[in-house]
Amino acid sequence: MPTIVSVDDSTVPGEGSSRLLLLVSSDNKHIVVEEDIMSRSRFISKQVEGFEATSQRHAILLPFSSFVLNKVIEYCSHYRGYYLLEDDPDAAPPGRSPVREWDQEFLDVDRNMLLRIIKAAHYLEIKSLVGSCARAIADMIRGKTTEEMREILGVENDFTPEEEHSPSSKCTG
Amino acid sequence: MAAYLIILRFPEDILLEILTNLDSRSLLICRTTCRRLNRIVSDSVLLQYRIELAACGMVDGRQTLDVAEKLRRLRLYNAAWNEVEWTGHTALPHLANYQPPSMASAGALVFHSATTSHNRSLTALQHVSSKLRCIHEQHIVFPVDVGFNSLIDPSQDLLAYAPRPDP
Repeated sequence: MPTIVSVDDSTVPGEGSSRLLLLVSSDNKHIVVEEDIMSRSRFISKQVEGFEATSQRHAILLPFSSFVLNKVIEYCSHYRGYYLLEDDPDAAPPGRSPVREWDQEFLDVDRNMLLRIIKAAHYLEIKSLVGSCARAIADMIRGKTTEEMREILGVENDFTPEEEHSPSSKCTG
Repeated sequence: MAAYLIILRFPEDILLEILTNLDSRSLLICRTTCRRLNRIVSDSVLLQYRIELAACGMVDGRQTLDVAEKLRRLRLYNAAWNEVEWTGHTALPHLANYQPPSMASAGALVFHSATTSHNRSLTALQHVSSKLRCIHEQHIVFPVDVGFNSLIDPSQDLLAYAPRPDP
């Protein structure tokens, strides 16, 4: 959980219909963004509800870098005002994430970046983005051998030799 | 490699979200990579259902049952096939005047009546109920003009109906 620091109200002035939020990344970059862009994030929405209850607005500290945060803001800006079923807290979640062409291009990044984005999206509770990243990661490992999957996932073989040869723990399909 | 993110340290719901996008074969290979992924796949009812469904060559029928119930029925179904024991008997007295079934397809038996009246014979389609596969008993009868051949394939919703060639 990030700690919440109080900031002077004048640094986050309300403007027009959408108010501004101050987000602070782990590398201490201050990013001002319109509140309704970030409303897709359940985490941010809950923070804002908290602000309304106490009528005090704060900066929101986030445990990831500005590089990743900017990427998430880009995603949220693209879908600003769009209804995505997965982000509707009242809708039943779809079985699998739908394929969205824009997301595929947006997530055409290296493996580490993809993992950082999914982690940030999970933290911010943006279900649609978690789903799209999960789909992209699954695309990287689909059809690969055990060794290739270990390489991509950064996983070490921790089976004992007996387990490796027992059919219950090792099924090669 | 310090910058190499270790996916296993991620929360389990992220890993599940990724695995949900995989086919049964990739899931089985994923189980062989390490203990944690092996456990996550085998503990997930949804993923286990997908694997076991594919293993017996079936596809999901989109019944409005929850996945745990689907998996339970799938296992009962597999067990029934492994033991090849009768799980139920259905008497079909209304088919007494029909010839032995001429064909079976997609869970339906096709019967033709032994007698004709008003130049018509009857064809009956009998779906035998199956609790495990969520099939209800259904009985459909329709007349066929004498001199016509009919052929039914319920799996295609197809009825072929053609005049018999003159001898």
